Amino acid sequence: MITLDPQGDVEYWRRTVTLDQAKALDRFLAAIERRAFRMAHIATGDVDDAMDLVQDSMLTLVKRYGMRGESEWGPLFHRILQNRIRDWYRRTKVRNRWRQWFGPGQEEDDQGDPIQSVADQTQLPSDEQVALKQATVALEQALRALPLRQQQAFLLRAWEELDVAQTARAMGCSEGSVKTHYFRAVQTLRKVLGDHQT
Amino acid sequence: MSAELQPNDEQVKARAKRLLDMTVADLDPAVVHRLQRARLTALEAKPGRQLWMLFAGGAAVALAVALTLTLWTKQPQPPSEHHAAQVVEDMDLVLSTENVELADDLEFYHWLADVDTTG
Repeated sequence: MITLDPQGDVEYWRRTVTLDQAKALDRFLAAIERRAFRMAHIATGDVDDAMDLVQDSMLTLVKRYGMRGESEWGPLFHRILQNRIRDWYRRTKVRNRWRQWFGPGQEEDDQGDPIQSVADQTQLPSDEQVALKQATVALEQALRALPLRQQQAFLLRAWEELDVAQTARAMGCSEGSVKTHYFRAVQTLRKVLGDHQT
Repeated sequence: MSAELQPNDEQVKARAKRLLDMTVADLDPAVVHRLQRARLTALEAKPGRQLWMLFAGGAAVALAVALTLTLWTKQPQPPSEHHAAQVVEDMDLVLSTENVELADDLEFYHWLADVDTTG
């Protein structure tokens, strides 16, 4: 196990951490960053907020857990990101409540356009591409409408393909809660995806 | 929509995954560029626990050692072999590698607890 310099200075880090380890961290983050952004974007509905959450999660992982084993990075990163998202959600809820009390809300202006992040594939989209895009927008809207815990459980289980125990650790809740949240999310999304056969 | 056309759980999962993967592949290049910059910034960050965390971890271990010794010296009976073994066991628990590693995680758990209470 690598011991840390109490001052945590950069030179010490550069001397101690191997180039291989730095490359491995880079590969890990490169592989996960886009999905992490999409998860944060679905949760927040805002590109800048999502970017902040992902960057903060990356920084936390590198600074605090970069020297841990490579196999630990995935669970740790998911846990950090999901906690950041939950924290953002709570802060936003409180802020919106204050806005409702003391003035007209600006939530509508603050919401990002879900379609913005999906770039056009061609200039003249085929029927299938149109259907796919419609299904994507519908799915994203349905995911955003889910309670946060259901949204997190579904994305971690279905997209990241974590098992129940890993999802529970990432969400900081019991395995039973994960099963409940996931089941409810699937019930809701079944209708949306059934209506948009792709 | 008729009930028989509703996808089953695995189909829901597979379709959602496919669509979500598509949104990742089609991410706005500006977003991709910002993500790359964010990654590079993170990788340039200096890792390590902050000084106060080292102090807190050390203080916690010192407090546990002091408490163990205090309880031991306040035993009414003369220390028997059993008591000595207990103390050794206690000291072992306090100073074990697992506990030192637990102290390493203190910042993470502190942050998690903070997140739980500030909501």
